[in-house]
Amino acid sequence: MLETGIIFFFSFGYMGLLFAIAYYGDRRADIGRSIISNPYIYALSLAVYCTAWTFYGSVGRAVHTGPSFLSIYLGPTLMAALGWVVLKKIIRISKIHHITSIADFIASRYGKSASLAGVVTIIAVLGVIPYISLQLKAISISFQIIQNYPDIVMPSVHFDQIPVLKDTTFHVAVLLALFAILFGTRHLEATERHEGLVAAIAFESIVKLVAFLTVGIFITYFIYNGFGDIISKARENPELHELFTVGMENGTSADWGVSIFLSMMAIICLPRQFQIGVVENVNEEHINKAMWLFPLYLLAINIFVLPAAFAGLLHFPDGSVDADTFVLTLPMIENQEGLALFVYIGGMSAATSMVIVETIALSTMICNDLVMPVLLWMPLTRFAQRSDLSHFLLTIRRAGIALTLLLGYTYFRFIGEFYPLVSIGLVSFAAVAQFAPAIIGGIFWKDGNRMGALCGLIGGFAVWIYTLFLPSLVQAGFIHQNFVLEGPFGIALLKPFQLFGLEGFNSITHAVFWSMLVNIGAYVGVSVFTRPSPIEATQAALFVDVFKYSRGPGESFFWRGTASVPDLRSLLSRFLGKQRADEGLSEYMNRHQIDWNKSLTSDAGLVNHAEKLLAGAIGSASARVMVASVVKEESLGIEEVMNILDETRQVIEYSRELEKTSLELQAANERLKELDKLKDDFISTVTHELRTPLTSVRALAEILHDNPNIGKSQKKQFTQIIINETERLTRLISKVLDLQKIESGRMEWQVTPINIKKVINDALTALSQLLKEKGIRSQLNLPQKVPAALGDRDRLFQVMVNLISNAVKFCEPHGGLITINLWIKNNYLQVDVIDNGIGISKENQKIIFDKFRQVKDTSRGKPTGSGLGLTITKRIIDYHNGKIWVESEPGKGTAFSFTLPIMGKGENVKR
Amino acid sequence: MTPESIKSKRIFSIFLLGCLVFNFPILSLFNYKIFIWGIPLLYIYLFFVWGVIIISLILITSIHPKKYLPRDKKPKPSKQQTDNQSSPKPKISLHRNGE
Repeated sequence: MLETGIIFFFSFGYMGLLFAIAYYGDRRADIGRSIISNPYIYALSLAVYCTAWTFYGSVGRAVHTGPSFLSIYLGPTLMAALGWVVLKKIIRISKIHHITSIADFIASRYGKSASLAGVVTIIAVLGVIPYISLQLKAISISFQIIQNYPDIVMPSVHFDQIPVLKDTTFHVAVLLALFAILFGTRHLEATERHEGLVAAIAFESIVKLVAFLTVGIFITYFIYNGFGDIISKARENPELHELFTVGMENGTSADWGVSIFLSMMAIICLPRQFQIGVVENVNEEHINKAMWLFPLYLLAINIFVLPAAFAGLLHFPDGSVDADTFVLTLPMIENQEGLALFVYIGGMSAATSMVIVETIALSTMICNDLVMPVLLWMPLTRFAQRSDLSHFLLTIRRAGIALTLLLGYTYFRFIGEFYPLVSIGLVSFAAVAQFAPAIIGGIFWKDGNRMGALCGLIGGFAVWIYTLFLPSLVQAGFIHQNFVLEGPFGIALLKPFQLFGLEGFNSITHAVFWSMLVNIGAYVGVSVFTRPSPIEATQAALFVDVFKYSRGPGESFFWRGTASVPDLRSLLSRFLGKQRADEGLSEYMNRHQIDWNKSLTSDAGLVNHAEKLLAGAIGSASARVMVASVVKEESLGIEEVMNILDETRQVIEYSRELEKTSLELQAANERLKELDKLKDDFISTVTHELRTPLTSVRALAEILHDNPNIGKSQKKQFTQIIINETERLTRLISKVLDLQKIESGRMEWQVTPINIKKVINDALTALSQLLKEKGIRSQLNLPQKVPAALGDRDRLFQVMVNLISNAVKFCEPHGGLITINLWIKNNYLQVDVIDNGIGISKENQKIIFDKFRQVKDTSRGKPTGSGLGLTITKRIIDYHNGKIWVESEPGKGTAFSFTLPIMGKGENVKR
Repeated sequence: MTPESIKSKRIFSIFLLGCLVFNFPILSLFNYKIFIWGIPLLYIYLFFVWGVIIISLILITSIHPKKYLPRDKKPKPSKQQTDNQSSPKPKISLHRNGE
């Protein structure tokens, strides 16, 4: 004997357990150790698809129409496979745009349209209310049946005759509302995710599966001896033969196909599936495993439907027991008290999970997409000026949950009893399937626009009302039955089940055909013939090409305006609460390294980020309105949007890149040409310089060769010239080699601390012979003590020799004076080599350090020297981080000066 | 072609195949009152195909993406390592010669 008290105890105990799990899940989420972040929980929570309709109704449907109950689960299997393409894209889009409901998704896609969001919400609420009432009905019926244990009494009393306050269904509804409010609206989240809730839903999925499998195994293997036994017994009854196959009437194949189509669409279009599958999804990689785990779950929960159906029919052949209750009544008739209770709990888990998620999803939509826009646009309420709205928003949501459950309960009391479980479910599927064209089209077809989606949705839904909803009112007695039998005003063509004479299908197939025809037709037709606004085009591209644009951090280029950070901050804190607003903003600012206190004006990126945060709380359409109120937006023209988004943009960008590259190449080419020219000059100069001494050597050698009788003294003079010229050649070549080595960086430098005074003295000593020959005097002004400099002794020696011999060249023989000064400056040494020669003109001073620049002096004929000495000198000084320059006045003399850093003070020598 | 797109193609073809085998007219081939192990043919067929689809999805999703790469593009880090270990000397001496 099952006491009512025991049933109550288990019912409430089970709800208590759910509370505990949800609480634990939330706690874990708060400390950052999510228990739902794995693909198994994700797949289990997706099984919220299996409601009381599955748990009780599958058997009922199998009894009435045979295998066709399976089509409701084959569709989701196909959709799960397609989830890789469709669901993943929807999830990615929703994460980027902070989308929290199906209404928000559609509205956001078509230009953040508030009207579209409102229409979707109304369709969803009206379409899903019967479905919620179906769950309440299941809980209520199963409670009444198990209450009478061990007798099997069908609840024959009309529900509307029980006082509301004594109705268990009402109590269940209140309890469910409480649960949904507690765990669905704890706080306003920018992402609208509820970890505890998902944990509880996953747990419920385990309970209902285990319960169903247990009762299935009990029926199949304990009451009977396996599948074969049940079916062979059923075969003895010819009336049951029809259940082995799908009926062969005209419309069967269409009915089958339509129910697969509807169940496929339901996986993305049902608000609760969208909530669990998209909004609550933690990681899109979880789809990987869920795409086979979820179908596996569906397969498992269907294995024992057929045996249960036949067993029920064999046990209750007279039809006194409703086939929807077989899974409960079979254990009861076998006196399995515990099992019956377990099945009852399993059915409850199936019903509660659906109701909880569905009401939360609907309340989000009601709040964000119906109530908010109205409040925001009502100037009288001054609503938008309130300081903290986050609590107010939560209250609206809680009211939304209560409202949907109340509507469900009302529908259950007045209309629900006239329908079997299955047909109510399919009616809801047909309603939400109206979203499919707008969603699927929206993520794959850029040209679908707001007007098209709006027309499609309204048209399709109108057909749904006419062909499915109004006839249900007929059955409940609110409309005269002539409406169905003879058509409105007796017009047979308008009969809701045979619209325009279309016959041979069941009412669902009929309604789906007409509504989809109108819906898709209007969506495509209107989209093709109207032009989208800039924001629609932008959103369309962002949705369709989400994988292309989301490689970055998800910034949209839509907002180009700026806003003041305090404005944005106060806006956010009004809706999200101060703490969450600050968290959200500082997260962005940290990521982009913006200083809170310094930047008062936010860039477009921050505005965009704020809008997304807000969209999570109040929906994209309202968020856009609110953000626009504080933003000085520079609106985008259609051309600009097209420029940003079109394929041409990429082409233009690409060609610009090409242009840039080709310009660079051109410049490089110019430089190469220049270098080439310089090289040619260099070679011609060098060869010229080589040829001059060679010519004289050769000429003299020929004279010596041809005239053996030449005088001894003359012979000696000639050979002396030859020796001199070859020496000059050697010097020239070694200078060319030196320069080449320095320029190519292959010169080996031996850097040591050196005493520059000693280097100067050495150089002068080496040249003393030359000075003596020319009769040039030298004067040294060197300090006593000189700090050391880092450098290459031999090269600096070369520098001194070059400068002194250069000075010698410019000086008049006899009477010339070369003065060498050494100064110790702050952190460098300066050496001056001063002569009193002819001097260098201003123009020549500029080019004197270039290669092969010899100061041409007409009065002195051919210049002596290679023209490389000063170039090499400059390179050597450069290498030592020194400077070299010349000061001169023609006729008065020339001063060459160079500097060298003192060791440890100035810059060190390059190594 | 990326491993992801190969995976998508395979999954999508499973979807198309599923649409075909779960619908009429293919279903009508099995819509007879024939019993295998005492179970109606249509049920056997549907559950069998259902299972096959689930198993193919498992296989497609569980294969590591690297296996999708064409053979010649497969990264061979282990081989490179052994190369480095077995013949480091000639490389260095070559370098010296070059200098």
